[in-house]
Amino acid sequence: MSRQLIAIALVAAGGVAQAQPVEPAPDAGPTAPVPTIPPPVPASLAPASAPASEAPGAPAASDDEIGDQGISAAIGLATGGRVTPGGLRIAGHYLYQLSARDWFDGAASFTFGSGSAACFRDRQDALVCSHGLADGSGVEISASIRRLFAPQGAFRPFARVGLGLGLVRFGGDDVSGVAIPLHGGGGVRVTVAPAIAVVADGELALGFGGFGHGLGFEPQLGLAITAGAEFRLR
Amino acid sequence: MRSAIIAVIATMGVVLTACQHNDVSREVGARCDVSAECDDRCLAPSADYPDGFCTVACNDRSECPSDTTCADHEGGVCLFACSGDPDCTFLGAGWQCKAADLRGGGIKVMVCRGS
Repeated sequence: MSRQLIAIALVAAGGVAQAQPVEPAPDAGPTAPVPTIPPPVPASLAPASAPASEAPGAPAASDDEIGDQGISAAIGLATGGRVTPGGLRIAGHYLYQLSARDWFDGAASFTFGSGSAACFRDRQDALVCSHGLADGSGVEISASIRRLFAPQGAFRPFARVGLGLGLVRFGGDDVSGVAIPLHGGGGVRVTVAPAIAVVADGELALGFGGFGHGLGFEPQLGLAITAGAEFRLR
Repeated sequence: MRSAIIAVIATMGVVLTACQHNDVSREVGARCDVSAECDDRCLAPSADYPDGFCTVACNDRSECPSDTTCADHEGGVCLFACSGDPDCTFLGAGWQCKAADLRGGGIKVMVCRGS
């Protein structure tokens, strides 16, 4: 049931979950292999062990290393600018397998940058903020889809897209706001022990935020690189 | 693949640089009422500095940011250099290009000040 709820939420949010071809109905004609989603559980969200959901070439054996659920902790650097926070990035992820190659990736991330002031009033009396790459602080939750690709030797590359909701603050200027960034990125994971993997991840965040003090809506643009450990739960 | 990554990073750099361009800054030129609004000090709103003016103290021209010079006012402050009134219009109404003593130089320089 929870798998269905997650799937519905992700599809509604424009996720990348996709329908997989299934066996045609007995009464269907010979030219009717149209992809359908059999109720009640979409094939694309069925466990990896379901043969019908295996994408061609998907390395099912390696999927077992990742598991049905997992958690990870990562640390790295985030770069921002203007009203996008940057600095030390600490993130935690919860992974939930949706299909043979796709995982739901729920994350909570924290960014710790300097609190220096960088906002000023221009000559038209409009507030302008020109923070550096590592200024400000923020906390964000995000929901993403992580797709794993075929192993490249010991490395297992993946791509990730998702949507976040965050709080941003620049203490030196007493400016706070709410940000809604789209995330896109990728990385690699290397299994180093049973149920444990090392993960390196890079992502681009692009969106907008609403701020007080007359700043209004401002674009959000940031880049983050993190590395951490991933643990299989089951 | 590598060229695509370089292109993305270069594009981000251009966007960030373009978005941060401004004629004035917290260092020199921003409007202000109190020094907390500036990197160094605020010349409070007055006839000499309409709407207030963020600046930095100086004793020599070399201590001022580009496009500014060290005028012998208020104990030495950096003001925008100019060659005519149109050079000062970006600061708003009431700003003109006027002669001032160069701090530590013994000569006159043209700077933007209030009328």
